[in-house]
Amino acid sequence: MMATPAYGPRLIGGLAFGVMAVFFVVPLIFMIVVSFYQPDPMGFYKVDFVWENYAKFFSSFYYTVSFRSLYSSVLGAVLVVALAFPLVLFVSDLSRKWQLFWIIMLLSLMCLSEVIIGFAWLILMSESAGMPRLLGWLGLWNDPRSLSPSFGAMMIGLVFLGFSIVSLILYPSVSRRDRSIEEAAVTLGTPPALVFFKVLLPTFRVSLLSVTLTMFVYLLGVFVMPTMLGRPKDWTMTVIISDKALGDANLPLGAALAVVMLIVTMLVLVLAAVLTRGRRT
Amino acid sequence: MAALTITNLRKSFGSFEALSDISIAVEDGEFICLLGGSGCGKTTLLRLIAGLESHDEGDILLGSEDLTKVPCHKRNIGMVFQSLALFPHLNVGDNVGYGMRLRRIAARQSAAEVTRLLDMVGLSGLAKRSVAALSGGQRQRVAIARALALQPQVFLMDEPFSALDAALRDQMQEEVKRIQRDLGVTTVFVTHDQREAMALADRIVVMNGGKIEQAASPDALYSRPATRFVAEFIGINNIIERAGRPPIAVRPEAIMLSTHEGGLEGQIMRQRRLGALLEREIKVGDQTLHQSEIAGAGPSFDIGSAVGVAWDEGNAWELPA
Repeated sequence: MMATPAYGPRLIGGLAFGVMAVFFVVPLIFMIVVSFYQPDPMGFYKVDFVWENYAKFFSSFYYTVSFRSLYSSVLGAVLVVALAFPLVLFVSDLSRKWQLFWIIMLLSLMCLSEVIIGFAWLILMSESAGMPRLLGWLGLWNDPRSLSPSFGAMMIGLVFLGFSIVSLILYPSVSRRDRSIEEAAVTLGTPPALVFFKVLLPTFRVSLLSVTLTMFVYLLGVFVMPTMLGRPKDWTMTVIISDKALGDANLPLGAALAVVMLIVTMLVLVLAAVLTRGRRT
Repeated sequence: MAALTITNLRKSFGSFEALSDISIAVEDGEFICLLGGSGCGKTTLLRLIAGLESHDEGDILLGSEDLTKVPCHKRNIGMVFQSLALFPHLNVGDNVGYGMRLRRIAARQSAAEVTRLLDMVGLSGLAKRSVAALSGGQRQRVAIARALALQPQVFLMDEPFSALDAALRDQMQEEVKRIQRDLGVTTVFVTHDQREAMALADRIVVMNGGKIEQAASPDALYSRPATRFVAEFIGINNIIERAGRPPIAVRPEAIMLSTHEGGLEGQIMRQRRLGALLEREIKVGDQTLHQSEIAGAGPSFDIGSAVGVAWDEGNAWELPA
C-alpha cells in the first residue's frame, strides 16, 4: 500500500515561509529600495536613485557610531556569556527543587520589559535614591553622584537584558552534560579548580560561541537601554537610525544606515562561522 | 603496584545507607569484580576507591598509604567510566596523552608513550583520529589506554562494556584480561553481569544492599554459594525448601530425570533446546525446578509427562536458612 504523503507539516511549513516572506523579506526589499531614494525635508522621500545616503555613512560621525555599536554589542555579548555560563553550571549542580527555583527566576526576569528594567536601573543608579546614596551613607563614597547615564550603566543594562536569555539557552545542554567527563579529568590528575578551564570550556566551546553570536546580534538591535542609560556618545546605530528615520523624517538615510548595519552584521557572522570551522578540524 | 585494603567502610546518602561496613583486601595484581544488582553499592564502593565520593567511616589503604586523606586528583588511579567520558574536544592521541601533558612530561616522551599505549589496545595509527569518528569498541579501547597512561597503582572500571553487543563484549573482556595480566595492575571491575564477572575475575565480590554477601573465586562461588542471594544471583539455582531443615541449592545441570517412579516426582512443564543444551522446567509440588543437560545425554520426554527427579548429593549443598 502506498503511504499517503503527509501534507499537514508541509502546509504549516509553507504557511510559515509565506508569513516570513510577507513580513520579513518584503519590508527588507522595500528598505533597500528606499535607501536609494532622495530625502525630502517636506515629505518622506522622493523616488530617485542616488548613492547620497550611503555616501553619508562614510562621513566620520556615522563611521564612529557604527564601530561603537559593534564594540558595545561584542563586549556586552561576551560579558553576558562569561557571567551566565558559570551561573548555569552552578544551578545545574543544585538539587532539582533549587534548579526549578532558578529557572523560574530567570523566566520571570525575561517577562520584564526592556523599559521596566531600564527604569529600575535608572533609579538604582540615581544620585537621590540609588546605590550612590547608599554608598555615600555607608561612608564608602565621599561625593556620591549619579552613575547614569554612562557607558558602564548602559553595559549593565545590556548584560541584564541578555542574561536570562543566554542562561535559558545554555541550561538544557549544561544540565544534561555527561558529568563523568569532569570526573575523568580529575582522576587523570586535573585539580578540581582547573576542571572548568581544562574540560568544561573546551567541551562547550562551540555552543558558547554560537550563543555569543546570537547575543551580539540581539544587542545590536537593542534600542531602549542606550537611550535610557547611555550618554548620547554611547548611542548605538539602532538609536541613530530611529533618530534619523523618525526624528528627522529622513527615511532614506535611516534605510541606508540599516542596510549597512545588516551587511556588517552578516560579515561578522560569516567571519565567525569561518573561524570556528577552521578551528574544529 | 600495591595491595588495596578496605576496612569497615561506610557511606550514606542522606538517609540511604549505600555501603554498610565493607571490608575487603585486594591483593597486589589481583583482578576483582564487584558484582550485584542496581543499588547494591558496587559503584559507590568504586567511586570511594577513586576518591570521587567522600566516605563516612572506615579506611582505604593502598599499600601502607591512607587513601582517604588523598584527594582524587592526587591518587594514582586509572578509571574507565560507564559512559567512557572521553574528552570530545580532543583527538584519540590527546585523550590518551591528557594526563601526561598535565604533568608536563616532554612532548617526545609522551608521544612515544601514547604510541605504545595505542599499540597495546590495538589502535595503532589512530592517534590523530577524532573520538567522534570511532566505533563503540574503539572508544572503549581509547578509554582503557587513557586510564592506563599514567601507570596507575589501581585500575578501576565501572561497567565499561554494558553498551556493547555480546560478541564485542566477549572480545573486549578477553583484551582487558590480557592487558591486566601483562601489566599486573591491581584491578577492580564493577558489573551486574555474572557471566562477565566469571570470565574476568580472580575473585568475585557479590554485593547486596550495601553489604558483601560473599567474596570468592568464580569456581568457589559457583559451586558453593554462601547465601541464598548468591545462589540465585550467580545462575539459575534450584533452592528446595525442606521442612525443619535448612534449604538446599541444586544447580540445573545436577538434576537428573528418569522414568522411575517412587522418590520425588514431577511434571515437565516446558522444554527448549539451546544449541547443544536442553533446558527444562519441571513442576515438583508447588515449586518449579530448572534442569539442563547436554541434549541426548538422558532420556527424552514429552511436555506434560511425569518424571522421577533426583540429584547428585555431592552437587547439592545446604544454605543458611
